[in-house]
Amino acid sequence: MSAVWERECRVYSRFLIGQDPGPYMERKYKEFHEQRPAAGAAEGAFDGFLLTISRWHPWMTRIADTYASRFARASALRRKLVLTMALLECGSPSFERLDTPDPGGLAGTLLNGVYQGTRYILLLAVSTAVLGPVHLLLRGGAGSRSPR
Amino acid sequence: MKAPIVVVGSGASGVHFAQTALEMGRNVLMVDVGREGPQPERPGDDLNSLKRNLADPAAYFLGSGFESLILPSNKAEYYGFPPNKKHVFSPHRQFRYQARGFAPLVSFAAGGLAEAWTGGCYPFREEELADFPFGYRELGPYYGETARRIGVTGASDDLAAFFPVHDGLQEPLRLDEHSERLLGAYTQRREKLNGDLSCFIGRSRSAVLSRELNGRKACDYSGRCLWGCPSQSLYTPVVTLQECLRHPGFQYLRGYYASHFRFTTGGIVRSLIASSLDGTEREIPADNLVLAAGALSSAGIFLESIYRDSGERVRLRGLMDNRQVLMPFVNISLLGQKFNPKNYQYHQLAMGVTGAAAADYVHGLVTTLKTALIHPIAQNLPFDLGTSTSLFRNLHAALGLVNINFSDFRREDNYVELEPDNETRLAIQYQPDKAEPEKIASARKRFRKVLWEMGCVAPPPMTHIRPMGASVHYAGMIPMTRQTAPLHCSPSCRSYDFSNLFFADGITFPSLPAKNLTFTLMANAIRVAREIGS
Repeated sequence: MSAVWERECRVYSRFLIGQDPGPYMERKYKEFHEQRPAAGAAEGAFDGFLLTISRWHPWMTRIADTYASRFARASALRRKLVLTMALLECGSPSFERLDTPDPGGLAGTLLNGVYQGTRYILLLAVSTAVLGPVHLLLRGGAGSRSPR
Repeated sequence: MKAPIVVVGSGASGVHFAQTALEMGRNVLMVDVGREGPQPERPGDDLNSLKRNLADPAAYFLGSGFESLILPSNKAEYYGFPPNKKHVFSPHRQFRYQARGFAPLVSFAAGGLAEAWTGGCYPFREEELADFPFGYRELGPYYGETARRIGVTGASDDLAAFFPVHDGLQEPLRLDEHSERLLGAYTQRREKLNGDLSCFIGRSRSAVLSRELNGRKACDYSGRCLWGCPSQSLYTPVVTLQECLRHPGFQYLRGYYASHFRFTTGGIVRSLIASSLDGTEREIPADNLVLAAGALSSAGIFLESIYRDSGERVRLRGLMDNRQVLMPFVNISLLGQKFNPKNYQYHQLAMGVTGAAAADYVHGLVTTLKTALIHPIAQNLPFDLGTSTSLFRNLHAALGLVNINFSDFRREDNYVELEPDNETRLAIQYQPDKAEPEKIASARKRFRKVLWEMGCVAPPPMTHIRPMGASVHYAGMIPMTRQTAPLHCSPSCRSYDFSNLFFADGITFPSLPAKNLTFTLMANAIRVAREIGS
């Protein structure tokens, strides 16, 4: 199990801030799963499926989480990503990455916002087309609702 | 030599009552569970240095058992309590309750609930004391005395009409950049905001030092406020408890839970019954008993005492609390900027929005979110967490939160009593006023407009109505009145049912304005102690 958690932690950290986690963060990630196994466990077949594909690559995490952000907000994947975010913001040097805005000031932020929003909408369409049927097939799972 | 006054509870009311009584030459015996929190870690470090220097920063910020981590399934609030404040809210096995329409918080910590407060010190004005058996002229000097004791910063500005200016105010703290911009925007649009939206903005009144006071240092802007001020610049009641402990007339019976008192048939309290952690009961003789355990705990002691004596289950009506609405907002002018964590972290600005009557006044506390953890908020954005994280990095400096407080008044339907089938368990019942939804909707609209005028956007789906009980401003079950009546108390907070029983907490408030009541609790406790002592 330890290897799976390590992989998750690494992929999720890259997805969130584009950096690998340090050994301290990997240790805390593992510690959370050992202390609170229920909070990290998949609750249903689709929940487990989302977790499995999200571990492959940060891009797969993005696709899985884009879908989860709409149809499975309380899924195990979301819980693990929130845990990763919380660990990143507590530790050094990752907190500095989270506290530093992109260059470009107001204009850059607005342009970035448009880019991020557009990418999200496109990915939501793609992920719904790809993961929606799987979700219907594997119906169920914590905090999830099937797309209509 | 006079017997000591027995005081139950070491919260904001209890310690100021005790200190005043000690100053008047009386002896005080304080009975308290008195749980203690951890010592501050690396007190010389600022927030970011803590993240760099602590061996286990996640344990400090999220808890060793991750108890302050807010996960998506928690249906939680925008913030959790920091791990080092865990002792403030941890329950006691003897205090049991069943609540309907109310999510109560009680504390068994030394210093009580105000160990986790945000320092808001807002005196009630004359109109807000209309239901009290005294006016501002009588209470005002005690506000000044409280301010001199604890250290309160504030200014005489546009909010002076809503928070009377009393003695003992220290000059305000340095504003953080976001608050400065908001105040600047308000100054530019003052006419429109005051006229069209009846909104006034000014400096908060906060129990934090801008100048040294009695050995406590002025705020050093380390940015650690949310995690417990390491230098006691932000006042909490433990500061006064420590002063009391140095007094020879003070005795602190820590580790004892007061459950009830015994009394004579003539309605005179004889003794207080308290039990230690191992369950050993102790009977403490009491010539004068002061309940300052917090409104709910004091109600519990009062009800259980009557029940144990006569089997009668009394219902205490009129429970009140301030409804709070949290409205996050984004200040457009600060998008893409870097924030400075070395600032005071709690509210530096306050807003007052007026209505036709004094009770329509709505009070907003503006916090510019700088060092709060972002994961509880970012997970609520309608995106994947990668996008949310990226957006948040650029939004962080621009984020703020208005905590909107609404007034409350006593209603028959809201009460506290003992459970019919379990006489040691409190039954708490609360139902909001029927007009509340309309009031909230109107205030939300108005605050959004005010923020928009100041260049800020408050996305409607992010606004969160907190459950009743969350503000922890409980009051009203044994109100002060000049007319003798059962289940009421006199203007000096002496029970009309028991001649040597006094209340020093919020249970005695006949109404609850839209303001944090803690400062008034302290001022009133000093007033009551003076009246008893003399």
